[in-house]
Amino acid sequence: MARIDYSLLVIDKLIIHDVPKHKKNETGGTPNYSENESTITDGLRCFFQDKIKAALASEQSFKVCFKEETESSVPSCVQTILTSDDNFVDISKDIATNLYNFQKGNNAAGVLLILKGHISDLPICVILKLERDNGAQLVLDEITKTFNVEEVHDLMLTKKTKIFKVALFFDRSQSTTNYDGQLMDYQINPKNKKDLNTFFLDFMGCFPYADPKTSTKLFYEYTKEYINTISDLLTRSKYTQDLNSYLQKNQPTINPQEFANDYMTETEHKNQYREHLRNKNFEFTTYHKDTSFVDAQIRKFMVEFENGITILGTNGTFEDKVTLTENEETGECTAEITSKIKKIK
Amino acid sequence: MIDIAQISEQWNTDEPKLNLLGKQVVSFLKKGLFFMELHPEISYRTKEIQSIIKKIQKKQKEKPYEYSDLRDKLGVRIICPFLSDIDRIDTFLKENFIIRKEEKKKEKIDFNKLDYQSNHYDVSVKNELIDFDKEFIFEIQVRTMNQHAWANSAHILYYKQDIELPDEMKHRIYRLLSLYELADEEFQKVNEYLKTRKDDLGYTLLRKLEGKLYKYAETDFDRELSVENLTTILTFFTKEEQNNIDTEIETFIEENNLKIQHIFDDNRNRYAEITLLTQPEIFVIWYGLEKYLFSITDNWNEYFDENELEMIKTLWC
Repeated sequence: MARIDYSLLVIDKLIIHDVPKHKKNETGGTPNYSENESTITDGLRCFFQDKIKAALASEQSFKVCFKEETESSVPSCVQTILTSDDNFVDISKDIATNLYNFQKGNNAAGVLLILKGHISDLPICVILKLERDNGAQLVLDEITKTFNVEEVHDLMLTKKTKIFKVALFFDRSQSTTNYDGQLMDYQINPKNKKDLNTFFLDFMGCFPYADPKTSTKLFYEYTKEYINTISDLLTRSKYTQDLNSYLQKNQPTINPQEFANDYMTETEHKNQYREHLRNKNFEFTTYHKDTSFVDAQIRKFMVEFENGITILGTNGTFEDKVTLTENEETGECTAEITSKIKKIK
Repeated sequence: MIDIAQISEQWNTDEPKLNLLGKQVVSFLKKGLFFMELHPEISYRTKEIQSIIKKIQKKQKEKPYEYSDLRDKLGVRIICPFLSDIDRIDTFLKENFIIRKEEKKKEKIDFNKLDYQSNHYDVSVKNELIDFDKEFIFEIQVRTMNQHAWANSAHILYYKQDIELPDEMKHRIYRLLSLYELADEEFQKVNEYLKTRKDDLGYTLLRKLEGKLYKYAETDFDRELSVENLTTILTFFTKEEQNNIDTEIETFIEENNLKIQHIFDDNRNRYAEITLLTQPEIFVIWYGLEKYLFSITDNWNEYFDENELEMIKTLWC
């Protein structure tokens, strides 16, 4: 399956709708629709392309597929946009209405951008939800030669801000993939939230492409395979415990890049690990976590010595209570266990 | 007798058109020669009216000669660093222009002739490449920097002056001329040696990548900055990774030709914002991001701006 190369992304047209905040069950309201496509200058085109590419290449981005049955009109609207240039404005309004209907009282008001473009010959449709912000700008008073600060209202996106929610779709029958697009939501913070916030996925009518149970199992197995290629046994022991800890962390997603950055001490190991996963066609991206298939392996940690002695411990306890040190001359390892003896069989 | 008023009037009409053609030809040559990874100096000039008059007057003393017979009303000059470039440019010109007349001075020069050695071509455009009257003939000169230096000096001292010089002066000019020729040949040899030199990876890479930068970025770069940046960036990699960069970088660029071309085409107006796009080390950074991501990301912030890497990573995806 070929990779979609987002570096080749080109935006051709854009329309913006305003989706106000509204209470649940509040009827009669509608988004503030644009009646025409927005003018897109070269500078603006590059600006949006950069923002979209940065978001899709970020650690929080993942592949998605359209649901076969969904309340969202996005899948059918996207399909129409991808296959035809007619009615772009009307279809984009439909998507805005859909967002309005999906939003509840706790969802912030937003600006919805719908873009059509291409990656090489492949037509693409991008949907962005941004939030309005206020800011300040420096203004030089020419007479007094003094800098004043002026408020700026309705800021949508600055060079420094990250796009909050974005999804890029293509027609899978025209590509060599078996998924429909890539989605990124900065508000799905893997480090803070236990459960996946599915609002944006639901609005898009999508589900994650990779099955969480399978991808978590593959992540575990491939990572373990790589760790076992490391010749230094103490590093191997550390990384194995780290892997178990990482998978037991209270977060809904996993990402090999995050694992490498957070736990691996040598740059060379990180590069080798990435290459190992690449050889297994396992992408360096975010996956939704479900440890059902690997629970048994990650809870216990075991070290077996050549002299027949084995130490078995639960993950977490092992790191805290067992210290392994290696004699570099002999290669022999000393294990120091700090605890009271509970039982002798 | 020539009708100066008529020629002047004709020239007033022709000159703006030829200026436009000159610009088009220079732009076409730059694009094409950059694509061949060459970076010569290319310029054009339209002849000054007084030179036109003088030349016609002079030629008419020998044979019937009219304004329309002048073939250097527009002249384009290509000055390249090395002798080997001349043959490659010769091929390019023959593929992209209609060659009406070709004069390779070196081929026809007598052993005792005091002359410079650049190539002259009388050409006209191919309409599928440049939109102009394909019957109009103009001149393209191709020379090395040393040939150019010689031509300029000789022009002031001696060139086309029908004066008989004493043997001692001729001898002095021969000596000078041979120095320019020797310089060209020695530059060529040094260039070939430096290209194959293996003991300084930064320098080797620079020689491999500068042509690629010309090809994609269509601009020159800051050599001093490149040496400084490459020296730093190479410390990010292990010895084995450095060897792989050396052996694989050209294949990497070739394999990613479409992607690289797209990035440069899409960001040509942003060179001031993303300055590394106009430096050959950009290829090493992209290679690193693709093959040894963490060698770049773990070390970058210690030496360079974090935002710059973010931008480069975004472009590469």
